[in-house]
Amino acid sequence: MKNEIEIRNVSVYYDNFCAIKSVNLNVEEKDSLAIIGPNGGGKSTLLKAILGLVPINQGEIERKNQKPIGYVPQYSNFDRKFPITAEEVILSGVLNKRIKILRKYSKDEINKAKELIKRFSLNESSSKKVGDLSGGQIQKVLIARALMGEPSVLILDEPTASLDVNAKDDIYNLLAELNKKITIIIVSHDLLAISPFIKNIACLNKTLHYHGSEEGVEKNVLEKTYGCPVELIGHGEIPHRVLKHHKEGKND
Amino acid sequence: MIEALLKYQFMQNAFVAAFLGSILCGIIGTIIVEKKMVMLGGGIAHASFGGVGLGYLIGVEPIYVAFFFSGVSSLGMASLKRKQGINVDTLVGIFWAVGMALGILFISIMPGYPPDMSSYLFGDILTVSSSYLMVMFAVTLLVIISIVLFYNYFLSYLFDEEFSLVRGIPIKLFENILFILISISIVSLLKVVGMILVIALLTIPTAIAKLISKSFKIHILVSILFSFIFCIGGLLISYYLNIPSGASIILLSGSVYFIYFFIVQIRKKRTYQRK
Repeated sequence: MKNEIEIRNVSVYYDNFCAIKSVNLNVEEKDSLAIIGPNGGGKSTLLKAILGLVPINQGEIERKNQKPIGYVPQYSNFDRKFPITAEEVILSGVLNKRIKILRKYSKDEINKAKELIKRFSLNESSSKKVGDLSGGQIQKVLIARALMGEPSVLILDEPTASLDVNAKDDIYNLLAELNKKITIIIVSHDLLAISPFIKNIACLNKTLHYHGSEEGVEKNVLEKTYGCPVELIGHGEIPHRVLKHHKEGKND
Repeated sequence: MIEALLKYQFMQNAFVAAFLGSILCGIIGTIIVEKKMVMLGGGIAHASFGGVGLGYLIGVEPIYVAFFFSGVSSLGMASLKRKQGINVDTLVGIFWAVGMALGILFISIMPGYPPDMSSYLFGDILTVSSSYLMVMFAVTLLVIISIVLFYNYFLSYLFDEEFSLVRGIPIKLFENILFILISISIVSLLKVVGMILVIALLTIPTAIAKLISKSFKIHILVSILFSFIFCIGGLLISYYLNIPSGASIILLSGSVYFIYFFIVQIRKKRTYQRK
């Protein structure tokens, strides 16, 4: 497997405050990675560093793929009253640094958007104001917008935060389907919300505490990451898999 | 009024100024309200007073100097805004007051009798000259062309700046263009409603339009329509009741907004009760 993103010894400081320190992380192509950690643990900073939104003070981040990154920001950060239709939001995903005067969307681009709208079952919502949609639908619109740029990797910031269980499932099924073709990186502070399709987990609290498959996460690693005792509990009905307990003899 | 409109040049000028001003208010007002830059607009408007004062001092048409002055100060605000650790709110307050203070200073040190500043402060649509209309026309044309040519980019920037940045769209360039458009629009509205009242004409029509618009294009068009109704209505009131036009335009807009707001509230309550 080729690497999609290589993060080597990356540190980011805001003035004198160290947000992340010496992070090393390789993300393979078609990997599905969840970056978890407590609030203020540097998850967003790492994400912004990958996206090029914050300057890196040390180390380097290398993209191995020429295709763009698809960014899906937190949907709750938007002004829900902004007058823009769902379709307009999705179409805006094709705009890039090649600025054209009187940029109109081509037939191909419009067809592509319509395909995504159909695939994500947004038919009835596409002509509505984006703020009038449900949280799950907005999230789908933002994913569709990111896909318009034909990315090789999709980076999602808290994609299921404040969604109900059904909407969460819907989003994760959709991501699992997309993951067959593209790399997916999710940032989440919600331990229980990690979906079964996620193959790898990175625990981040200023430094990277663990990176590997989900089965290997030990309880003490989580405790180190979160800085407090973590109880891994889950109910049978939760459709998401819960991190397993440390298995005897493994990783010892 | 139709009789007066046909008879007097100043009424014709006022009518054209209301029309051009409405287009500017519809476009720029919608942008600053959606981007939450209303106070910044206020800052630019008041900073332009420094330019007006400087114009009187050096004997150049004050409006031209005000264009330059507020253009430079808005670009200054834009570049300082991008630096981390500077609060935009504070920045706007500083530019706002320093611009005003410079204006007062320039006028106090100019030789001879101080000019009457009230038309810049509160506007007087009935004194708009033909040459001023040409300036307004040029500014309106420039704003329309810039927005139409890059409409989709501006929309993407206004809705989600971060995403646009990740996509490689030169946000800084668009932001600078936008700041210049805002400052020249505000300066060319000075004679219509004045620098103190301009903020109301930029926000009220667009705030009403927002409640009934689904897309950004419609939002802008409806805002233009409301601005025009308010300007002409205000002009009528001003003409017949002989009160200052700037005040009548703004008071008319404000009253309509509050009436509309209460109707919406009552309707909301009723649908809630029915449920």
